[in-house]
Amino acid sequence: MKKIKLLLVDDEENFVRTLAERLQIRELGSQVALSGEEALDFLAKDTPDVIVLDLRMPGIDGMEVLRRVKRSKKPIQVIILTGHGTDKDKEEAMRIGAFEYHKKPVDIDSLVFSIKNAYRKKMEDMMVAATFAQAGDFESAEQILIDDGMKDKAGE
Amino acid sequence: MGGETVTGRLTAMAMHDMLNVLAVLKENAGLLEDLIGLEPAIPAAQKARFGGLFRIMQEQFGVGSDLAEALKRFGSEAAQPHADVAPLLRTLLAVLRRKARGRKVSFVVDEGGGRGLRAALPPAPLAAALFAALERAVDGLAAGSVVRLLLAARDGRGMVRFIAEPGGASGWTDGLQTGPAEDIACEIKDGGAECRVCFPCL
Repeated sequence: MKKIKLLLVDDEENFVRTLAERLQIRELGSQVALSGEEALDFLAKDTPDVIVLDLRMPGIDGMEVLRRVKRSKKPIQVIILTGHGTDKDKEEAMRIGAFEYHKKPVDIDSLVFSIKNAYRKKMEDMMVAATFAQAGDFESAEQILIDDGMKDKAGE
Repeated sequence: MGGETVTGRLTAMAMHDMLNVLAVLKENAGLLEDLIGLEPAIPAAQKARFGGLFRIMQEQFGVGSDLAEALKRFGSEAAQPHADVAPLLRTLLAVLRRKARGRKVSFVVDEGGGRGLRAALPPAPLAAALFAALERAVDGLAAGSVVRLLLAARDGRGMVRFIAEPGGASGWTDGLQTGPAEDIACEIKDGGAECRVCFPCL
């Protein structure tokens, strides 16, 4: 499997740095952003395959980052990892297009499994999109890449 | 802001931070386990011993997180005008878990006909009535007893039935108040073998 480009976004530095190290031991290298703003700066310069995103952060929160990722139409899968989410948050995140929703503390192997699944989903979507694009159907190709639940409502 | 609202909010905020603390501890314990696992100089028997310790730590982080999550939910919903009965019951069971385990009394929640049941009153008074009955069950029933908690609703009244098994386990309901709060009734049935906490529902 190609190296997965992974971004971890969480304002709890002690948590996210340790998580990054544990993922590295499992051969998943990652970049870390400590706020929603840092995550958006990163996204302006680079495109990760998968983002593991906390929801409650001061400033731009995780839900807003998720919205902007989906609005950007970049093929990025987002996994929510939060200690503070409510059922309503989960519903909202999945509606916007999160790939999966986990509550902290999470079992590391479950998280690794989710990250690999999210990456697989991204690759499958890109292959299907490429098939449409080859047939000249660019609209369907684009729709597949952004279609993770919210579809036409992304960014509204 | 009323007293209950403030208390609820403070509880929710504290539990919110507690979940973060537990997550940091869990990840660091996990990292330590990973690093020990990778260290060739540590003998296999010692690694196995460490493994056992880490499993206990992870289990306890899980228990702490469940409790913090339950209290966070209870605190954040304290100011709501209506109570979701099944989640409220699960919160109370999480708080009572340790004591119940010590007394070897277990509870099984059966939402059955009361799925999605909402009480037409705030969580606090209902929690008080349910908790009194739960605590009485833990204190009054013999070790090995199982209490089925059946949720039901009929004609605008909701209820939680406390049915102790083995059957005929009477006496544990002694001392429960029949009318613990306005709108809430505690009915004792079958000569004290069953208790029903009744309340108005939506």
